[in-house]
Amino acid sequence: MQIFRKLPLLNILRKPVRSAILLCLTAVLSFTVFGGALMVSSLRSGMTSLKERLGADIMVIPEEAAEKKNLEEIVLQGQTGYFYMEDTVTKAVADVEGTKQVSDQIFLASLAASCCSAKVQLIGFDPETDFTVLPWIRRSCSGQLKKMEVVVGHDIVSDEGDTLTFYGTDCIVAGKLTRTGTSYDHCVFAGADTIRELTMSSIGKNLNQFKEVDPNHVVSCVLVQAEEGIEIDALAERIQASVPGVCAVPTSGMIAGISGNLLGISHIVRIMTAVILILAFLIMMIVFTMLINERKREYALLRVVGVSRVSLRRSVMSEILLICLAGAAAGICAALLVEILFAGALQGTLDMPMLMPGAGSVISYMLSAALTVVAAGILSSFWNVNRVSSGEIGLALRQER
Amino acid sequence: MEVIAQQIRKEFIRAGSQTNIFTAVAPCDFLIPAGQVTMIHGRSGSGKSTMLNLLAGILHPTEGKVFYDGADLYAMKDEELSGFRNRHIGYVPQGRSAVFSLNVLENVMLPYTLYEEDGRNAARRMLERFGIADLSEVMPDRLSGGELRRMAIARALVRKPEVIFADEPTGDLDDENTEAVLDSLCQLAREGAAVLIVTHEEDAFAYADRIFAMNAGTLSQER
Ligand SMILES: Nc1ncnc2c1ncn2[C@@H]1O[C@H](COP(=O)(O)OP(=O)(O)OP(=O)(O)O)[C@@H](O)[C@H]1O
Ligand SMILES: [Mg+2]
Repeated sequence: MQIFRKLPLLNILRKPVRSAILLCLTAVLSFTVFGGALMVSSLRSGMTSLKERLGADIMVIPEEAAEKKNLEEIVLQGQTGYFYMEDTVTKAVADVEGTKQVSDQIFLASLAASCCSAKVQLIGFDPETDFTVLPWIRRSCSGQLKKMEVVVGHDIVSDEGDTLTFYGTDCIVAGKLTRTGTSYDHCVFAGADTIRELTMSSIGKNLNQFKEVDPNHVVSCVLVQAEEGIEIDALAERIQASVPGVCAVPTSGMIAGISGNLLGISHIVRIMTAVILILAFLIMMIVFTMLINERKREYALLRVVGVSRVSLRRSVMSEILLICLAGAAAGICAALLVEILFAGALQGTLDMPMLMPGAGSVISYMLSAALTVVAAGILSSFWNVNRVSSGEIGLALRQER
Repeated sequence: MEVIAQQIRKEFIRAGSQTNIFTAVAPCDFLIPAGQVTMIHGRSGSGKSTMLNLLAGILHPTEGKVFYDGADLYAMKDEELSGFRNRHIGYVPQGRSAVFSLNVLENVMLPYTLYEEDGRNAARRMLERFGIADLSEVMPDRLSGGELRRMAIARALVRKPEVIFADEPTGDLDDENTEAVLDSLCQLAREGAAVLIVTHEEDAFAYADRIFAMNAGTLSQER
């Protein structure tokens, strides 16, 4: 290759320490921009996914369960639990004016004991009326669930065809659901009759907290979809007033805490990105100024032997761009690696649903991170590059003979 | 190629005030004929390097023009002037000069390869002539002052330029190498190049066809 053209690369290789520092700096910048965007976006899609999974406007549960925040524990924190109310509640809720669709679910929690394959949350839905779980199941696996067939959340270590045992009763895994980034990834779903059967087994084995219930006449929760234009909070109040012993929880209220956190985290990420951007920019400006000043005489020499202003500017800029691009790539890779390795841990720490956004978004975040680094590189060095490439050669040549 | 300077003058603005103007080169006409060795000597700070830079097209004169075979040097656009420098002018700067990311051979080849010609053989010949062939692969920061200087001379001469400027080219060389360098410059003059050398060493005057003295920016012919 032509010697002058490989000069930018040679310059970088010749000063390994300085290049490494610049590389780290630009990598940190792209890591922050890309990682931050990825995190906020993951949280946002986790949130959307949770909303979608909840699917209902209102969840009606027994009063005692509401007091103990059982539902939030199950839905938001991924704990297990169950509670019951009379199945007449379903009809009563459906009769309240303003409800469009109503479907009940029955919960059961398995145990980490020999009777069960694993400790998981079991959710039984009514295939006749369900409007939240079935659409999701249909998207993930085809066909109808027969009795004693279950589908498992993404993070449950079982695959289609496996057998899971709950309270001594075997169930066949009919499919595995796509990842949602929410606690539903740790749940097992089945038709209500299957869950009732399992509940029976649990009572039979004396392992159910509620010894007196008749599984065939209870439900755990009633999901409500409101009619168009109905105010959700008012409807919830109406349900609570007309159906005794229940609590109607608007789902938006349940996830309000999460969206508050999300807002807080986006804020922190944004501020952090801004701070690092400014810092990185300043440091880059200093380092590039040093780098360019130190080589003033060398640049003048290149001009003497016939390098034009434009070529010199291009050469110096290439060197800077090379460093920036390498740094950007390193930062992006690091962020991806962290995301892949520690997403679970992060989700656990933040206690919020997280779902990696689609490839398109990820790529666009990568590009914008790379662009930010390159722009910072160009802007922080532009003035110096210009000064040195268009300055008077005879004057620059006088420096540090 | 013949170089003619017409009424060139260079002023510098000194430290701070715009009114403190210093004349480094007083207005003068100056001819560097092809095929001859012209030398300038003078005290430190008298304006020799400034004069050289003005003539070599790397320092714009405050006033006046420089012609190369009739072509007005400072009327050229940068692109054109850069190409012109590459093809026609060999310049040995005062002091050390090297591109430190390139080894000795690459430093010397540089003027050739800029415009896509491979000057490897020409560069090797130059290195041999100046006794640094065995240093081809060495990086410049490992060289002695004299070796660096010979490398710079090799780089200036490698394209057999028609006009050569050398600013104290033998400053840190021993007698043997001084002779080799001056011989080479003379030989290029014999082949038709216009050669201008700034020097402090009176021994070198033996190689000169014409000698000028620089005194506080004013040039006067001595021989
Ligand atoms: N950019 C500048 N600004 C102000 N003064 C300058 C500038 N460049 C050169 N001078 C002054 O011009 C004068 C001539 O400088 P020049 O380098 O031409 O001297 P010289 O004869 O080559 O000296 P030496 O033999 O030490 O190399 C000096 O007094 C120097 O201080
Ligand atoms: Mg000088």
